[in-house]
Amino acid sequence: MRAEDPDSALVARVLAFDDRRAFAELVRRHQSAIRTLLRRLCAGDLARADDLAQETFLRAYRGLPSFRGQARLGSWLHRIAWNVFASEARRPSPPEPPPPAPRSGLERLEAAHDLERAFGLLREEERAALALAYGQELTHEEAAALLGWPLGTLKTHVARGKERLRQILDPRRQVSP
Amino acid sequence: MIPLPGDPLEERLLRPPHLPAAAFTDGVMDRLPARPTRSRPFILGVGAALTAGAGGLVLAGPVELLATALRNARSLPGTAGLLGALALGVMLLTACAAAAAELGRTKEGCSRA
Repeated sequence: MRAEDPDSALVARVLAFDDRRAFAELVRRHQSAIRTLLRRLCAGDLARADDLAQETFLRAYRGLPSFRGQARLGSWLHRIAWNVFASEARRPSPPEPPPPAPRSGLERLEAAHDLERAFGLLREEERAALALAYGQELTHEEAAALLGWPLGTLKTHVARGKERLRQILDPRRQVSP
Repeated sequence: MIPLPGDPLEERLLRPPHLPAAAFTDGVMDRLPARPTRSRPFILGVGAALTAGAGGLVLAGPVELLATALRNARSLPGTAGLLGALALGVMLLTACAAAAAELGRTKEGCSRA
């Protein structure tokens, strides 16, 4: 584990003594980033995102003995969060409506006030690329590896997603389908 | 990632508002698996002691017989006596190994608790 990593002492306490206070502190430190990532992936569905975020931390608790510290804890948690999201998304569920382009003025207005919900108007690949690439803890290379894409593909989806977000968030711009 | 200067979208993507932690953290902590109870090592220790006692009582008879047999093995004729002593020795070693394995399992249980 890196010496300068502020989480390392807390991780060590959890591993050595099953110190629940130390784990709670780790949750407090990382919850905002993980919940934001999942809110973006879940397109603003806050309840579902928080359920998945809780599952992320539970898996992290169970998997902490396997955390070797080669990566920062934050990026390790981001990987778990993505895996939790991806495995949940693979489960059969009621058919979702296809990701729409924002058509109505009201929809665009609501999205303009809520970046996470605006993610719901992106294509799936753009949403995943933007959420992970801007997830505070992952580099573009790490995000591409996590998604199993070449780096160039990730950058393309990031650029397209950002352009669509600009269109969604700025009502004066023309939204492309 | 360094945001482009003056790009509000980049700013919003990179610096989302911090979400309040208290309720969420409590929810996670409530869902953690329960700790093993503090009485578990005591229960395992008592169990090990009882098992050892019962094992001693059960094994006392066969061990005594074994000792007698080993003492008398010398009086048996040549090869038969040697084979008998070897068989008894193997039985004794097997019993010791089984007892040691059981003790090891009990200790492991205690240390996990």
